[in-house]
Amino acid sequence: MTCKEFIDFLIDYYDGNLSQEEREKFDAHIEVCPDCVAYLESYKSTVSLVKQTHADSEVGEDIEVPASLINAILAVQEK
Amino acid sequence: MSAEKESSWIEGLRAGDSDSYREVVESTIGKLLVVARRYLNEDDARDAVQDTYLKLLSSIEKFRGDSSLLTWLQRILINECLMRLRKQKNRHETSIDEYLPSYLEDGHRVNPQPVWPDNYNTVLTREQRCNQVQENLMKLPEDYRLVIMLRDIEGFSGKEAAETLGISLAAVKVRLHRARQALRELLEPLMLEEAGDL
Repeated sequence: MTCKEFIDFLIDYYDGNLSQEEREKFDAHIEVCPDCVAYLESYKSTVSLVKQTHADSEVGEDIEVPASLINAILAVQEK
Repeated sequence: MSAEKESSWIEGLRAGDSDSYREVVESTIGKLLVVARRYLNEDDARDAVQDTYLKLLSSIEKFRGDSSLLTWLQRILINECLMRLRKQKNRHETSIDEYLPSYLEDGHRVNPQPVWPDNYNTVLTREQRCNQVQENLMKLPEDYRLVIMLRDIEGFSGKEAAETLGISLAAVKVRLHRARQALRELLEPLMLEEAGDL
């Protein structure tokens, strides 16, 4: 397996969708390729960062919602 | 929010009760505005949120209870955001290929970099990191950015993302993987530079 093949199928590896045989090829490549180990870890970190940073903005209750927007939305039902 | 409270709201909305409507709006508008701002500028985000509540009023009979009311509203909102994005689609985007890794003839990557530092997640404040990720997400071509946002941020399944975007499940998978790779390429020099500053 080349590094390109490893990276091309990384999403299946990450999602646990490889067959046993494919998984063994991936694991064998990781054993001998520190560059791909580094790539895999940074790929996982990237996904984690995306999920994490937006999870922090999920609070919602703490954000300031313009009163004009709330009033406009409530006014619709009053019509 | 309890299931009983939500049921009472839904019953109230269906009966046209203004108190129920006000409580739903006050309880959900913050979260919806946060979501809308991920996709649109401030004015368009507010319009999309407003239209979402209009749809709530006109379509509450269609709510089947398969998800929470908030999740249903978020899905309506995201469709509103995507509709607005389609109308303003920028045709002059950089190709995703510019951000994907390059390979030598033997299949090795060109210029591989070391592992990101273990403490990469502590160098910046959470707000700084969020802004950094968001800035770099915005560099991705829209077709790829939307997939990573729906899958990794909004938590859509592959099937849900495919239906929302009107593309195949296979296309979702390819775009997601490329978007993640591209974002990784954009973030890597920043992570390594921060490590050098430690």
